[in-house]
Amino acid sequence: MATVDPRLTPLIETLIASGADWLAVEILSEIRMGRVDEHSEEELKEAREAVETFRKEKTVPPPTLETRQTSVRHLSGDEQIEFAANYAVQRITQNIEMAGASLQKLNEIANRSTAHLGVPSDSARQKADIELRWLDTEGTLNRSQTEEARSNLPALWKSLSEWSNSAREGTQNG
Amino acid sequence: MIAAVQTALDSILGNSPTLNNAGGAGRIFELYIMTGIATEMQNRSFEVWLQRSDGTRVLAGSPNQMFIQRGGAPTGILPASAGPGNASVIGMRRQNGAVWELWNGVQFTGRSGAYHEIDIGLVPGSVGNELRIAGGYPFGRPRVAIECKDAATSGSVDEMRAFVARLYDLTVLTVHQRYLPTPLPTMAISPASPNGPFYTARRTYWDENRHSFNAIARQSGFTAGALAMTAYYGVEGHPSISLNSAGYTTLIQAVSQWIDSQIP
Repeated sequence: MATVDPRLTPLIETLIASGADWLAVEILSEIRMGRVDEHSEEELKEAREAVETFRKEKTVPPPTLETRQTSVRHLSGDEQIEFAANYAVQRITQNIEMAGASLQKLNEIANRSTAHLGVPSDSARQKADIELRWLDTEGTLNRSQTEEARSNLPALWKSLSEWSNSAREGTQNG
Repeated sequence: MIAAVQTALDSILGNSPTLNNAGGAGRIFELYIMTGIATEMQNRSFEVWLQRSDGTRVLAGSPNQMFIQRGGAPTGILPASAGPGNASVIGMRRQNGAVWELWNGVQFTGRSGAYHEIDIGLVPGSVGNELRIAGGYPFGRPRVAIECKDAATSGSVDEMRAFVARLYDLTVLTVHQRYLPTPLPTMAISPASPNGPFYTARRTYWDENRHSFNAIARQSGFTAGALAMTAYYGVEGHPSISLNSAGYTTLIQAVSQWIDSQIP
């Protein structure tokens, strides 16, 4: 396992203080694990096609694929800092974008299913405005919240990029 | 400099309840896949609807437009009498076809008696209706089972092994009938499975693997060597699932095509 570069400490502490402790744990785990050799997209496509053939052809046995050994490469200190900054912003961005897209799809489903039923009331002519809730989480999530969160992403990108540059150049301060 | 990061994080996390929760990002990942399948089935002329935990539908303009995702410790299906405040599902059916329910994060009971959470599962609507009478756990294997991994770490052989083992314990074959508490005929899933050849238990694991759609959907890729198990046990590996990515489209099309071509 790789040794975590101590220059990451301010970012890890900031993530924990902001309530994103899970993200801090993920970053540390990724760095300690290192980069592993992955199957190529072509290999994955071949495997999926083999499964599809197995499902369709009732007489063929399941496919067998050649097993490969995994190789691992650990990140240098500078690479760890760059990785952590990129990982944090991409993970948060992806989550917000996926939440927004999921809400959009839920609204689409509700609108089309209401139209399918042919409900004649005035209320049914309104557009759906679905909110998300979780059984173990305080609060709900709606479209305006995801838009508000999205509007703050550029500031996160900029600040993390600046922190990453300064940490690698050894000029960071509190 | 790090203070600017803190300020930006606070303004974003304040608007995103899921980002303040260890499992939150993973749930959004599952929801994104689940809603992708549902909208694609709508595009394929299936009737698709959002359904509250009491069995009622969420319609445009209705006062309660909440879609509730599971969280915390996974459970089975809660009784409808507990009200609409538990986990929602997505219902679907082709024209004049049987009703199916797309579930998220429900625990199924295996032959061993152990519970196994399936991130996204497709089950007959009659099973959902029966379980909503008094609450409980489905016994057997859903027709679609997708394991979702919203992690940057590459999918390992251990991850595959865990999913294959889960499906193995959930598989009900005709040969198992003598050990089962459920009555004849042996069904792939119970209680209240519809009758008919599509729903009956198969003879072998190969048959069951052929007769269901099983996949691991990952934000990242698969460790070299991990695919041998997935291919042999009929589990499709879908990497690079991100917003509108080619990997996402491939997954959604593969699941939807299987549902469209197979389910009654």
